[in-house]
Amino acid sequence: MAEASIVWEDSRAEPVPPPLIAGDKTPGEVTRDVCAPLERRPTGLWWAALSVSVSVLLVGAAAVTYQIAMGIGTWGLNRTVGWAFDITNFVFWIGIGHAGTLISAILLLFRQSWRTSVNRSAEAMTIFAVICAGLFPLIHMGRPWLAYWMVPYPNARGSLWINFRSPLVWDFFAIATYFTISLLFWYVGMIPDLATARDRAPAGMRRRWLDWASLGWDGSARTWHRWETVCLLLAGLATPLVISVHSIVSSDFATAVLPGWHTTIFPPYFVAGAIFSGLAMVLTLMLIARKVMHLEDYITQRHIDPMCKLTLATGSLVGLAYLTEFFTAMYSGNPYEQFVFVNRAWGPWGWAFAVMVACNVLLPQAFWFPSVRRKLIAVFAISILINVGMWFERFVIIVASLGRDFLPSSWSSYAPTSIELATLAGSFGLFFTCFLLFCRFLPMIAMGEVKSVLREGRHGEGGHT
Amino acid sequence: MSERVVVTTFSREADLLAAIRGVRAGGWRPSDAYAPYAVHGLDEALGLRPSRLGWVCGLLAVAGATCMLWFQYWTSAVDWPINVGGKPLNSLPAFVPVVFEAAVLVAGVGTVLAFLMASRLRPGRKPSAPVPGISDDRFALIIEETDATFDMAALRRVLKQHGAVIIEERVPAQGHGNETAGDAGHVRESRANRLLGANVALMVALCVSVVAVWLGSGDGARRNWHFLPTMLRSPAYDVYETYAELPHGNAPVAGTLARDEHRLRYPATEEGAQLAGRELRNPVAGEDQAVRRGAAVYQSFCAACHGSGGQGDGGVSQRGYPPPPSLVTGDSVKMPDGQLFHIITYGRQNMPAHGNLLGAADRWKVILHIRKLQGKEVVPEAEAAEESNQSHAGNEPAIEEAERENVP
Repeated sequence: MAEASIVWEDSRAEPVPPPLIAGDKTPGEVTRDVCAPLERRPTGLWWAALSVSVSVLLVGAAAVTYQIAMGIGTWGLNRTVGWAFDITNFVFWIGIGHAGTLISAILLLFRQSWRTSVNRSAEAMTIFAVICAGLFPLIHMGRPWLAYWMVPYPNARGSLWINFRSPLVWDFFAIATYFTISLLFWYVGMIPDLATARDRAPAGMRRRWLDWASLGWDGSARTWHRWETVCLLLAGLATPLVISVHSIVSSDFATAVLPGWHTTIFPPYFVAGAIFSGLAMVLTLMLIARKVMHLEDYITQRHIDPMCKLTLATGSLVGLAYLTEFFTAMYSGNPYEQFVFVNRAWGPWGWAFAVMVACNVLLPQAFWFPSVRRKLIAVFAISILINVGMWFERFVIIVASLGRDFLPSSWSSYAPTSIELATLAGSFGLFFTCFLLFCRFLPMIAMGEVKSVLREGRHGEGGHT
Repeated sequence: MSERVVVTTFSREADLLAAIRGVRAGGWRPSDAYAPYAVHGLDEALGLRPSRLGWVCGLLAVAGATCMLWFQYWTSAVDWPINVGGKPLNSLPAFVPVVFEAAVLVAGVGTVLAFLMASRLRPGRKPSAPVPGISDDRFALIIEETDATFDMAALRRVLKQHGAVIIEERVPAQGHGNETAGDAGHVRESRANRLLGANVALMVALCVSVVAVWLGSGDGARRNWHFLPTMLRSPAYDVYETYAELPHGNAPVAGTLARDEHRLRYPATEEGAQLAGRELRNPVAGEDQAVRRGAAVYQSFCAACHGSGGQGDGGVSQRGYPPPPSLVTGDSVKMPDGQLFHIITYGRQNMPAHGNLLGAADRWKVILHIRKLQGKEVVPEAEAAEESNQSHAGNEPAIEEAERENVP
């Protein structure tokens, strides 16, 4: 121990970061905290929330049933504005799903240990968001019962194959792959936790289904080794998958010739926007969950802070993309492109554009300030408004561009019908119903992963390297 | 086979790791370890070989990509090529997204299946953790006693030194498990019976359905069972089909003429043509508008075989269709208008009938144009021709000409 110049050494010493998981938890405590909500009866608050979301879901289901029986005429679409709420909602929900994959997969590859508290719920959010998203292309078909024609199976019509050059076909493969891989990633990651819940469960129906779902997991080191390898491999697959899926979704627009759609910026722009809106949704869900399920020790400022910063980063990327689009149109000299932007800001949907810019570009800038990041009420409000803004971004891109295309004689306005509004609400009902059921029946936090980042039982400093 | 295993329980991850290193330093070989989470450094401590699942993933990705690329090429360029917007049939850049997705899908699903198979995880497998609490907060180390010189006391010392909580010696039943053999055997047997029963039932159902379809398919010429024939048979009435429930069965009244239809009351024979030539006159006046119309109709309907100049050198005639005789020289020049009209209406030898394609006025106007090609002056004998035609009833409905021969 040096005596002189102690001042220098002390000031250069690395500060000890606050623990990821507060409350000095042991692995046993983690097990109990996370399994407790599964083992006790659900609270009144859970029942209230579930009844609200199921009611909304039923309203949406009724609207969709009516629409499938009566036809697309029940929507407000017209000859010029052929896509509106249906595709807006589709892109919105897919975008939300992407943040879950970001948190599970991409942060795993970057070895960010703070992801362990939120990755299970984030992946669940992805699954449910992709389910909500996948419903919209299905119901927006004129004959949804023939949706199986999208699959290239040998058939008696020639065989008539699908058009592999169409982005709508790419969409089908992309969404199907994304859903399957996300589901596998979520489930494989959950097997050890299901085993933990199984070993605590008394004999009965719950024990039987956990027995079945945990596949006889026993915690052997070799199995853990292979499990870690599979998770890394799936993460490595899921990361380019996220980028490819939303790029393909954006090509639904980018490959058309419509001004305002036909731009090469769309794939990166959409991917950034998707991660942005998804992070906001994760923040919303996490802040609710930690309060309602008493998981404040597991979702701490050490988790909320980096998520706010990521939200700020992706939000700024989205803002930069808006500016780039605008500059490209201006610099191009193409009067149709230039008009698109004049129309977006000052046309009949200018109000939607204002909401979009305010919520997506201006509002997230508040996250520069640590005081805002620490005030959870503000974070919650901002996260909800970000999602509102992102919905309006897709709405503006789709409806404002379609409604004012090359030929003024085709220009048309659009207004949603009650059926479309009910369907949108119903998709939220479906999402929250699924999420509430997930909270009730499945371990919300990845116990196995959280235990591995506790400081308990390690020599020296904590933190996973 | 080992006779006994030593099962050691630990309560901290660090203790487990240190114990493994100590045990290996002492010459004993741990055969497995159990943990409630993936312990960092456990693989190295145990000396586990890196998993080969990475290779599986990579190979499956390549396989998925190749198959999907071939499939897209085969469907788009070989099996049923369709020109979509003029894009090349083998649209490689457009095929890329689906190739990527297929690669990811095959790799992901395949790797997970390989993982489950390699780890022997499956629904219905009985978990075989050696001590309780492995999935909660306990760690375990398994060491096999390989030979008679096994020094249990020394091992105990090493393990205790590194914080072992419980040390047991066990006789393994089957593998590492410690399930009670009797119960498990009984449970296994009845479950196996149930599975077998289910399998047999499914096989029987499958065979029965195959036989039923084979026997029930019957007449190959008859249309088979349709699934969802939603747009195959339109419920709307067809225009020219007869339906009993409609007035007159939806059939037109006998003798109905189409609008602007003029039946030509001459037989479709050479004699009929000559008779028409003697009896009919061109009712259309030869003013500029009519001649221009005739020229336009000629260019659209006649020039393909007859050529723009009427010399029988049209595009179709040059490509194998028997060329018609010239319209501007030879017999055509001497043919009267009525005969030309008959020929246009009914056709002649290789020329098909144009009576269904052109209205009567247009056919007369074409004849004006033909005369112009022939260099003859067009005679505007409109009124005189109209009267003489009416008297010959060449263009009147059959009602006034019942005594005429049975002509169409």
